[in-house]
Amino acid sequence: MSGRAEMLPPPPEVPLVQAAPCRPHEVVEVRGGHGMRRHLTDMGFVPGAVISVVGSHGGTCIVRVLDTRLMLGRGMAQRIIVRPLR
Amino acid sequence: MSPLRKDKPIVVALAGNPNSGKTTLFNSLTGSRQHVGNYPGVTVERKEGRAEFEGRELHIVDLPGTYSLTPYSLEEVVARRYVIHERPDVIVDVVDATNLERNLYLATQFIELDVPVIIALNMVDMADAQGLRIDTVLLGQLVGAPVIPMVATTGFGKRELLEAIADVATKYSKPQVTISFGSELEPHIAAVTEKLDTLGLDDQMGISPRWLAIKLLEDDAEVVKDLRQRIPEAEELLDRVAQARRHIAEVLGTDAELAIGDRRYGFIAGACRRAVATVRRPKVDITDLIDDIVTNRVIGIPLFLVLMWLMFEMVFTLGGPPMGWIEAGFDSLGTAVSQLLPPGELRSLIVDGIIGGVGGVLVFIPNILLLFLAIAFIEDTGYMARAAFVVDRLMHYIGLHGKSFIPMLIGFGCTVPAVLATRTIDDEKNRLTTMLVAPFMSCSARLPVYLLLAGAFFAPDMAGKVIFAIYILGVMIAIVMALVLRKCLFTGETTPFVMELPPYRLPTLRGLIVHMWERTWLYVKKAGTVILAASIIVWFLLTHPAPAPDLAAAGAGQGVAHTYAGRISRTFEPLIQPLGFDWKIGAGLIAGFAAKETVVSTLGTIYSLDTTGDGERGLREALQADPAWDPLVALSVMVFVLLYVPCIAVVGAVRRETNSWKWPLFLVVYTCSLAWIVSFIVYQVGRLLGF
Repeated sequence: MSGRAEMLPPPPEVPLVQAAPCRPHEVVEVRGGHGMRRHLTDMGFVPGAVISVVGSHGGTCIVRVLDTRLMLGRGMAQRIIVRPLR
Repeated sequence: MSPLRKDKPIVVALAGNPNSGKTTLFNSLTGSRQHVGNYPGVTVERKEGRAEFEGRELHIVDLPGTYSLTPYSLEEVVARRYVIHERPDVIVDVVDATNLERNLYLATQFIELDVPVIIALNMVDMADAQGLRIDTVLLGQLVGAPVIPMVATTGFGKRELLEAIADVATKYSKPQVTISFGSELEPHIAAVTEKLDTLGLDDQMGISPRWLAIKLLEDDAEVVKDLRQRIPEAEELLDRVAQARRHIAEVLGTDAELAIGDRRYGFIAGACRRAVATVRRPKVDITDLIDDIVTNRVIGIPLFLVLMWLMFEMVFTLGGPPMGWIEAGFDSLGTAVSQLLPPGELRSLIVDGIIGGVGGVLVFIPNILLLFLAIAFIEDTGYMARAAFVVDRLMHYIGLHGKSFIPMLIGFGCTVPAVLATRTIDDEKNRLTTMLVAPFMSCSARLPVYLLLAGAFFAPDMAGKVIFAIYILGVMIAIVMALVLRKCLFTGETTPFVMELPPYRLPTLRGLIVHMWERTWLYVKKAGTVILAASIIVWFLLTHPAPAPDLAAAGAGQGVAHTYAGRISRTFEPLIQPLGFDWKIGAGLIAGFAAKETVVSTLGTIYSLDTTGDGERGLREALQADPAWDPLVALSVMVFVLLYVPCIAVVGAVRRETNSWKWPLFLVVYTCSLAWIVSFIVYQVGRLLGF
């Protein structure tokens, strides 16, 4: 890694709903109530997990996480904050 | 607890993620020796069965699918409670090998719980196909529990699993590994564990105090509640826990439960890095390929509609011939009985009442079987979940979401399993809304009415279109009512949902048949009980007091006007006259409360004919000859039958599922009112337009 790479600004964090499809992203934060966050954790959405959006339809997304495909309702996809991986 | 005596049956709990093949394994182990019941107080199914291995008896419980021991849904609560309170001798955690890391999340919690657990690593064939090589021995050592590779659908690994179960149970072998949560969390866990120890809790509850400590730090609501009930010093302990949680949040920058979850995944990732090798990455993933097409923004919905249309075509076309055979069969039966028995009450009861009534229902079994087979196929291949995704966007416009789609689809077969299927919807508001509009998906029981009336009063090429229009009307009304219910009665945001999309699989024949049969059986049971009883009652009400011969000769069903049924219906007649109905129709509709097929059989009995085989054409002619009937009346009746109260079995199911009388009552009242209003509009507007 050259010194140059360290000077680039970190990629922007976006809600999952806006993530570019088919590109790996890293989970930064999961917002929302306790129960919901824990449920998402149970499904593999922990900070640091690598996910990618397979498709989306009006806010509802299909996401690959840990070898599973999950369909997330729109409210959900807005509460997961991700960052694209280089 | 001590190691198991050789003569006691071993109690085995099957746990695991949904879609991990748990139920397939359960079926494979228990065969037909299963029993389905309910967990007390809740509507979650309890499946138990028996198996035998080398002289030992196994008592197997198939727990509901769960992702974690800190429950999110009712199913997870039930699964957890079972494990903790009923202390099975062994837990078999069924893990999907193609989805190892996520599936192991539950396994680690069993390890934390410190109970005898075996990991049944299922679908190793598919993992192999994906280029994964799993060292099950090493994985078992790292995780602390034996790992048995299996393919539940073929029985591979079954013997080894049974051996492991017997072994673990007799030795009462507990996990050999303690999962470390890292230098920041461990001190807190240790402190809370110590506190729990001094309170003497492990003896009281029989649960590992470390597990309790972890759950307290995760702020598990049930554990907290339980603790408060058991010990007076609970508040002090909980304060200490809250302190610890705050500290963790400050130092790690994230909630304690997320930190704990994260550490679990870390542990799992570490174990998998060492025990799992990716020999080759398959070039393409079939599931992704298919999904690209199926969930495509543009093609998704049209493709879905085409598939639905194909499904209905198949059900009605393939179902035709067998229906004819069954009809003919009942015909012959009726004739045979008529010849054997002398004329009189008994013969009439059997031929007109029982054979006519129940036969009319059983005739539709081929249709029902095929419909449920199609639905089972769609579910087992995995397409159903994608269909839910595709319609989700449309569902949002009416305030529901994709998960409501499945019960509605099932409703086209029979509303009773549709009501039961709403269990998968976590959101109460959505669930109730779906339950209350599912009856408008015209069930197969209403079809005989449409076939009879459309066939009698509309030209052959029009009849099919009319029936199709009725179905569409049902769907539209369901949409409107869903909107209305969500805006007026069940207002508010729905909780967002997460649904797993399993990889596409070719279903096993056995799985399909089991799946299909479970639902068809409900229908047959209904026929055997409710409809039989209803037919007999209706027959009785229509034949007592005995019709006078001269009145019967007058035709047009006047022969039964003075019977109990006749009198009851005539009292109601003024109510339904604005809809174009007379008292005979009223009688049919009242009988239809028991089961919709009874509408046809009642009309048949009223016109003094039975309705199987030749009888049906006879009924058709009798209706055509009766001046009280014409195409508009027929249409009005069809609309009424589409909308009014679903059968008693559905009302019963709604009562059970909602645990109250409020909703079933509401269902009855609102569907009847709606039916009356729409039928009224159809009839009056029709008359005004000159039909």
